[in-house]
Amino acid sequence: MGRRWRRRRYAAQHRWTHAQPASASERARAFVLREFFDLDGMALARVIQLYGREYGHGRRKYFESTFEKWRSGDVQPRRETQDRILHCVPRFLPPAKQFTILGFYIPEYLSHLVAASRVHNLAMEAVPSAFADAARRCRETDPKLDWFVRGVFSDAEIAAFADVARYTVLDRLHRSYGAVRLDLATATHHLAGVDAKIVMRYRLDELGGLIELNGVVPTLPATAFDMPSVPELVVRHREEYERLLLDHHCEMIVEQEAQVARHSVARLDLSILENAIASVSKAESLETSFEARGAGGTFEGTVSRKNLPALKAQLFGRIVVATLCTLGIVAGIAAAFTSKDLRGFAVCGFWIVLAAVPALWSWVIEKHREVRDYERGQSTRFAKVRR
Amino acid sequence: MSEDNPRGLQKFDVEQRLPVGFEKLPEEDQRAILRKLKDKEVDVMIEMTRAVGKSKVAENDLQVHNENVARLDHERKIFSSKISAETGSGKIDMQVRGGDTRFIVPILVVIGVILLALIAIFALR
Repeated sequence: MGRRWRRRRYAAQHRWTHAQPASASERARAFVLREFFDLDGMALARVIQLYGREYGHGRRKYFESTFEKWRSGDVQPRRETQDRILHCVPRFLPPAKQFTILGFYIPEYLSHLVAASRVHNLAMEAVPSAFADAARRCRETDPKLDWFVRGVFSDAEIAAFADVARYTVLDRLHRSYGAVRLDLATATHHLAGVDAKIVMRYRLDELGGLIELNGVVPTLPATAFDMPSVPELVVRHREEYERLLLDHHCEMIVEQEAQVARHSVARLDLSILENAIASVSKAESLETSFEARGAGGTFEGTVSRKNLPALKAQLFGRIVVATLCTLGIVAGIAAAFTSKDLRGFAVCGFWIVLAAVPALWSWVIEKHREVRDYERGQSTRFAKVRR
Repeated sequence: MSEDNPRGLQKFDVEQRLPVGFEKLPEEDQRAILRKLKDKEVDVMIEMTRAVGKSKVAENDLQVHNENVARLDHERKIFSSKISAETGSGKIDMQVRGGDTRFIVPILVVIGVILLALIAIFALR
C-alpha cells in the first residue's frame, strides 16, 4: 500500500515537469519548469521579487505559500500560473541553461529550413535555380521562438542564432549542389557511349526533387548561389554558437568523406553496368533496370536495346497483320455489299475502313521509323548527349 | 579493375581540414573531436569497402550470366534470361532475350494466309 502511495505521489510530482514533450516549445517549457524547482535560494528570492512586482502582492503571497506544494507535486499550478513562472524564471537562469532553452529550437528551426527548401520534379536546366531558390527561402525564413524565450534574449542574440542555423543549412545545400553536379557529370560520362535507349531519373537527396535525364544533359555552373560568410558572433553566447559551427564543420567533414565514398562506388557500379551492356551481343535484345546511390542523390533508370533483325521481324509481322486486317475488312465490306441481308453492315464497314485502317498502318509506320532510326543510329537516346 | 575503381583505403587527412576555431578548444576537447572524426571516417571506409565488395560480386555475376547467354544454342530457338544483382550503391536487373526470331515470320505468314482464306470462303459463300 505504502509503495503504491509513493508511486502515485512521484507520478503527481513529475507529471507537469517530466512528461515527454514533443515540440521544441513543450520541451523548453518543461525544462524551465524543471529548473524552477532547482533554483538556489538567492535566485528563487529574485524570482519571487519579480513575480510580486509583475503580478501583485496577492499572487506573490500565493506563490510563497504554495511553492513547496508545487515542488512536492501535491498541487499542480494552473496554466496561467505556469505562464507567469515562465515569464519570470528564465532570466535568472545561468547563461549556459539559457542557451539550453534556445538549443531546443535548433532542430525544429533546421527542419523548418530544410522543409522550406524542398522541391518536386524539376527539369535538368532548373537544378541551379532550384538550389538558389532553396537558399533564398532559407535566408527569408525566421526562427519561431516562444514568447518566454524571446523575453530572455536580445534581438542581436536571436539574429545570431538564426544566422548560425541558416549558415549550416546553406552550407549543406552548397555542398549538396556540388555533389549533384559531380553525379550528373559522372553519369553522362559513363552512359553517353552506350548504344541503347536510356531512360534515367535522378532523385536529389537534399531537396527531394526528381530530375528526368532524357536528352541533352548540360554542364551545370560551378555554384548555384553565393555562400554567406561565417556569421560574425559578437553576442553573449558566442562560445556556444562557435561550438555549434564547429560541430557542423566536423559533421560536414564526415559527410564529405561519405559523399566521396558513395560517388566512387556509384562510378564503379555505372562502369559495371556499362561493361555488362557492352558484353551482351547486339543480336540479343536487352532490358536493364538499375539504381545507384551517388554523392548527392540516387539514379534510377532503364536501359533497353533491341537487335536489328528482331526489329525487322517485328516490322514484317506488323505489315502482315496490317495487310491481313485491311484485306479482311475490305473483303467483309465487299461481301456485305453483295449480300442483301448484310447490306446494313456495309455502311458500318465503310466507317471501320476510315478509322481502323489508318490506325493500323500508322502502327506499321511507327515501327518502320524505329527500324530506320536504329539503322541510322539516330534514335532519341541519352547516348546522344552533347556536353 | 579499371582506373575508375576506387583504390582501397585512403590515408586520413582529418587534421588538414579542421575548421577554424578548433585550435582554441581545450586540448581534451580537441582530442575527443579528433577521435570521433577518425572513428566516423573509419566507419565510412568500412562501409565503402563493403560496398565495393558487393559491386565486385555483382560484376562477376553479370559477367558469368552474359557468358552463359553467349554460349546458348541460338539456332531455331528463342530464349529469355534474367539476372538480378545487388551492387554497392543499388541494384542492376538485366533481362536478355534472343535466339532465332526469323523462324517466327513463316509461322505468322501461314497463320495470316489461313485467316485470309477463311474470311474469303465465308465472304464468297
